[in-house]
Amino acid sequence: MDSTTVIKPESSLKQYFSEILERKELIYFFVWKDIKVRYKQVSLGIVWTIAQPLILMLFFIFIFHKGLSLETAGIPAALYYFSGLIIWNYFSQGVNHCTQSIVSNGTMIRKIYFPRIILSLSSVLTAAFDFIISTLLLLALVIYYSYASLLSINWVSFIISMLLAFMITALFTFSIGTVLSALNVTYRDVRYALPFLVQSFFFITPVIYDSHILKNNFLKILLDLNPLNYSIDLIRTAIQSGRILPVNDISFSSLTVLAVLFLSSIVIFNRYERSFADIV
Amino acid sequence: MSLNPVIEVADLWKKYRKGRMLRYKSLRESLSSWGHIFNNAEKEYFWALQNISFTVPQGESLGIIGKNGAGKSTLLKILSRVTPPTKGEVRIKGKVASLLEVGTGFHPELTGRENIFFNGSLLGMSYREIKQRFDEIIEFAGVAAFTDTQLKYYSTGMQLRLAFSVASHLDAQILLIDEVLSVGDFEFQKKCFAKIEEIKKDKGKTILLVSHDTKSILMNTTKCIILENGKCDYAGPTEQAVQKYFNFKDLGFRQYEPENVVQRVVVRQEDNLLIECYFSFDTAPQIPHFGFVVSTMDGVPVFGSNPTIENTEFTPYSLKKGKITVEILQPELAAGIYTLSIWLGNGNVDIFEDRDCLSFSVDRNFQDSNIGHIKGKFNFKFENQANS
Repeated sequence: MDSTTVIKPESSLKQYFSEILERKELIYFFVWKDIKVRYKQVSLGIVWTIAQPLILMLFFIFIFHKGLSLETAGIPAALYYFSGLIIWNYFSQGVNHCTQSIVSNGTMIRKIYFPRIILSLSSVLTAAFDFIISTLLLLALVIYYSYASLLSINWVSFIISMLLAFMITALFTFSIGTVLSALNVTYRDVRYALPFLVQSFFFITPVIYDSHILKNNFLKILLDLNPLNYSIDLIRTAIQSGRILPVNDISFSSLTVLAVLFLSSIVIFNRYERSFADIV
Repeated sequence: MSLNPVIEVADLWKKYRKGRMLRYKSLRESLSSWGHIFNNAEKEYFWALQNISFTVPQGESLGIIGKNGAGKSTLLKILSRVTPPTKGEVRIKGKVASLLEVGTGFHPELTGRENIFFNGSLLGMSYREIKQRFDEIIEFAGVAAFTDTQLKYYSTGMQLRLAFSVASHLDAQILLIDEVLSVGDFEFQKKCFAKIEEIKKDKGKTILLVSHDTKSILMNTTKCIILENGKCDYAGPTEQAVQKYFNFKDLGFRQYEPENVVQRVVVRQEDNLLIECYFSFDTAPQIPHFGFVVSTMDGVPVFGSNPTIENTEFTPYSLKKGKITVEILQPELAAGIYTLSIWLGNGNVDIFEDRDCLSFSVDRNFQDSNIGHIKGKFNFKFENQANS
């Protein structure tokens, strides 16, 4: 009736995956707890989540579109910047949250066993809560622009593109965050390097500029490999032309990068996670 | 042993880095230490557990005793899978609930209800199980009126009670318990013991108990292992283990080095409890005086006396080598472990003193009262012995 648990120095990936499935409720509870705690401690609560990307979007419109006259690929500037911002915000918040997830839950890790990857999984999902709120804002903007007849939107491809963009961004955030969270346990330098890394990454993610106008070949290659570029492009293309971004070289290369990162992050994390309790 | 072992530990070893304060390091340290790997690698480690093997059959309670740093907690951590072993293997049949430290994961901003759900899930309960047992958990903790109050407004006692309550309502076949029995006030401790009693009655359940508290070890376990410096020093019945652990010799017996005035001290159980102190003076004291105190393991004195208090007639002959016997009349001590401290003097001049020189266990419960029914009557007897 009861299964036998074998505890050995080396881990078994098979046992590991079945355990994650077994404890899937715990993922939900971590997300639930994090969101609850966050909104209980902050008096303005959800206002922050709504106001921040909107204000940033207004800045972008004012500085880059009006001030520097940057092109917005033929779609309303608000939609253009906001679609880039929601992807970028999800990534940067998710990576931050995920990198700290192991160290900040150190006491739990030292006392109780559960597959540690649940912490990074749930932190990426917690960040998705903000993403969902931002998506609703984007939706409101899209509805506004189509009622004002400034835009004709193909809802099916828009929704499919949003879902795809979310999945790609979530996987990418998880892969990067998971590796960093494991490194952060042994090397606390990661915490200091992280803001710099994230900021640098912002420059090769086309939030404020159009990736199609780049002339430098090296930059082009960098962007082609960046899954976030693909996510943003998916949303913008759907808004612009009502199409789902076709499968092409770019999608192939960025999705390959994504797959490799995702698999190696799990393997790396699994290798180190058993020693977390001794180090953290 | 039994045909149905639920825990099988085979040749378990665990290596730790020395210097726990420097557990994590900066990248620079790590880079600079690569060059020394071959020189210092072995010196930086120590073995927290060495070659530990034992089996626990279903329904048995096993106690683990040992000094601080002997490896008790490391062993439980491996069994609860918090940390992996370095060598060896453990096989566990059934669901394990570990009460290594209750209340882990509690968040002050969340309400009692929310904390029960999160903590329950963290400990391995399913949503359905938590829902089913919710009322029981609340009731056992005695916080029914505060279910929807944030945890930060709970008293420390209430938090501990809630934490223990959640953990003890886990439906597991194997329980790993570490020192949790000292949780909360006296009333709640009684409840905890009752809960453990209830778990023990359920024949299917197996308990592993790590404790410094001999009383709970004696009351709750039948077998015991003693860990010393990461090695298994003894494995066998709890009574013997406790005696061995506290004396490393027989029960109620203490042998001293020959140059000491006191040669040995024995506590014996006859009709009454006897304390015997064998001595050998270089020069006989004019007024030989012997005092003693019996304390609980926590160091609380239960009773004690000396010949002056008892108005024992002074024996005029000089004593050089002999035996002092104290007969403790009607020693209605509760079951448990007690320690004996002795003092030997000439009049009120100190000659020899030893605090907690030995410990002894009482396994008969005379009364239902806490420490016992102490009448406090003692007979002192001084006698000379021929050189032998």
